[in-house]
Amino acid sequence: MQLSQLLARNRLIGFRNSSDSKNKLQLLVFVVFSIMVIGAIHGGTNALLNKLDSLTSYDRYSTVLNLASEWISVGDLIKERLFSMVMLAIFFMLLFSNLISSLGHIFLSQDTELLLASPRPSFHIFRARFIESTLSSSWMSLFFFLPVIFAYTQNYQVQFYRFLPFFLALLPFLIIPSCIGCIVSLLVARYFPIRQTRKIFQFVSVLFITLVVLLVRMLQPEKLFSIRDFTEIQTFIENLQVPFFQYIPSTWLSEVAIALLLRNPVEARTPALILFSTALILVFFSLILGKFLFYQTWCRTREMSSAPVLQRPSTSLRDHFKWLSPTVQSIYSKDTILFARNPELWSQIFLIFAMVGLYLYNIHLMRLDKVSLYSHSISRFIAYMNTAFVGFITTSVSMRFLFPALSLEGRAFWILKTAPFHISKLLTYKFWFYIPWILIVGNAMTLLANYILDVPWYLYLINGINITCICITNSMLAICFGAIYPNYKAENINKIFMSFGGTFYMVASLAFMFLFLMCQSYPGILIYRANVRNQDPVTWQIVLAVGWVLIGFLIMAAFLYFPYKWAVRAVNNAEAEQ
Amino acid sequence: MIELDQVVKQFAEHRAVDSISLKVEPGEIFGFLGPNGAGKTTSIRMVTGILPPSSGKVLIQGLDIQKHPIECKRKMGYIPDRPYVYEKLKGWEFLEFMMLLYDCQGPTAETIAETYLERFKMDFARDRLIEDYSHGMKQKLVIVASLLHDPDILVIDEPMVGLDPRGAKTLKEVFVELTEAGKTIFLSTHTMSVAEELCHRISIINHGKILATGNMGELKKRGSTDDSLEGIFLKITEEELQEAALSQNDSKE
Repeated sequence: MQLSQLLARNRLIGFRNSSDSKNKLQLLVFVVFSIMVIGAIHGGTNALLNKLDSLTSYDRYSTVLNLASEWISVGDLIKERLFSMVMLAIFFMLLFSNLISSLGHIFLSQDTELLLASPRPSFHIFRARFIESTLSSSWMSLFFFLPVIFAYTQNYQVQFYRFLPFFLALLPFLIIPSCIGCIVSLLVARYFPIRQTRKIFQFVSVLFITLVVLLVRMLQPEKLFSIRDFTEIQTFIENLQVPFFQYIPSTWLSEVAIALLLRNPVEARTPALILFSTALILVFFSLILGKFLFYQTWCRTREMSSAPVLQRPSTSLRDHFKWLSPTVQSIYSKDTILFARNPELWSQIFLIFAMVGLYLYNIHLMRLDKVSLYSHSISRFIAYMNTAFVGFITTSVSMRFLFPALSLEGRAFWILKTAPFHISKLLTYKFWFYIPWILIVGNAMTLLANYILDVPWYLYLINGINITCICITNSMLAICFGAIYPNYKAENINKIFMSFGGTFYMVASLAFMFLFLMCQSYPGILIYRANVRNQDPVTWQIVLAVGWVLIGFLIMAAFLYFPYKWAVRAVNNAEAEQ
Repeated sequence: MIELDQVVKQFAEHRAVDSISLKVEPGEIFGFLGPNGAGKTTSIRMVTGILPPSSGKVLIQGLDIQKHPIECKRKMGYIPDRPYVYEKLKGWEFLEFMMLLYDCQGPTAETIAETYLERFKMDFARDRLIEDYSHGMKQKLVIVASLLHDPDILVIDEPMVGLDPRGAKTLKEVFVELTEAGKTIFLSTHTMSVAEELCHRISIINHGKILATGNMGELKKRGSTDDSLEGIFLKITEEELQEAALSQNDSKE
């Protein structure tokens, strides 16, 4: 049996073996969630495409037809452009996930030593790793991509069998980034310490993705749907007809799809041929490089694993915590040093800055002064709802940093379990360690949004109180859910929060925000009426408002107390693995 | 037969193994002793073909493992000090995987598996997930797996770690039986009593160099003592430390 088949067999058996009742429930939740996501992507794409179809109407766009020498459907052009954009995004996603995953699969798999001691050629081990890496980094992209494809085939009413060649062309499209990832990994691992390299890759990837996201946003793709922003309709059409990049696999695959959907399927042959020949050349180079470099480079990774490339932070950080008790001091200084030495963690900060920047930029783009006479009311409503959006962002931040806080203790958790302090206090220690940062992010975003929307003082106050309560509760929920659903064995942080517990935390956090803001909205309405319409509230309204506020705080207390209680029990019962 | 000829392993600035040469004959249990970081595991990894030597040769039954890795590995069974096992497989499934990996599936390998599982009192756990095994159970499973293809040579890094007294006794019995059948066993250990009891010959290694090789009588002579192996080991490694300190002082002067 081929080694790749043998390893795939192991995975399948392992998957079957781990399907106990708890895992079945998690699998069920995952499947339901996946179906919902697929349905949402498919439904959203379908709705968008149907909307775009209205742009092809002869009556409304006769000017377009006059300007063009032949029939040009604006809707179709936009659809093509959107498809290319999706392809481009998928290609970059594939490229980044392949860069990270090929390093991990080829050089950091724990069973490589066992396989190298067996009578299997090292080239076969490399080949099996290459296949594993391609599969593991491709399925997620396909998951998001296939509903879009199905929506397009439905929209163009193309028979599914006519579109089958596209799936064939998809194969080289998936293989090309995998080969690039593999070649880069082999070359980089040959000259740099592998564990450090992986961290650098993760950091550079996050930074690059952040920049791409910012760039795409700054290009304002919504202008695709706004013909009014172009001085001449012809410029608009010409703009749509120019491809993004000509020499990139996503463009070739888009051409294949568009030929199959819109034009003569024979036209798909040339881009498909380019895709296949590029993939073949890259596979050839990957295998040749793997044959000559894999074993040597793997041996080298054993030799250089401890050599540091990244600057290590000074241990004098400890001095900042001198005012705390020795136990808290030791935990905080350890957490700070580990955080600073792990680019996988701190590189996420760039994504947060990007999110904050994008959010504020979007608010700025609303140009509410031009909307209507009721702009001030809308801006107040948006400012109030802004708390929920900012809350959602802080929830995402908590999910990345606070939810994994306990799991990141990993196999060293036994050290804390056996240390002379109540382990349940670890939850509060972790909470106080992170909460100042979450509060700064939440309040800064709210303040800036309020400033941009030019809201009155009372909304500054209400939003400030609300976001502080939301940040506190969501942070505590993240710590608690992380303790209830820990994963001490996870090899990377993504595995910790992309789990059943992570999803459950997200649902709980959103439920809290919804209930809390609902309760706080009534007093807000009263203050608004009093300030803008000069309608002073009557006594019963004030009593009702106070009642709603109290209910809101009771809900907050419940969301803090019960998960904390469950988390304390979970931490006390957690096995101190070694 | 295992033969190491002037084998060197250089890790950047650090020489982990420094020109070691030795020969292990069929039917012999050869012990490799040394303090932590002496170069034992690196040597074992070179013997099994996991790491290539920087210079020198490793011969397995007369074949250079660098030139004929597949043939050499077919003749060898390897038990690492911290064995990796697929935690989501059951014990028997892991053994089946190893049979396929070593291309020895069939009734012979299955009989070997069943026999050794029974001897190590592991037959009750063959259908349990490996993630539920204790460290010792995993060690026993890997020992059984290393014997499936009936290797001529067995290379073991710290064989007794985590084994219960009964398991350790069974393993010693298995070693003796294998050598009586003409197999070669190369083991590294920290447990002096095991080395003293089992090994026909022993090498003491420190700082990548072999300090002494021989049977117990020869080692006693080399250490100029009638002490146990532990005493000999401490004396020889102490002498080496003193010599190193002296040569360092000389070079400073």
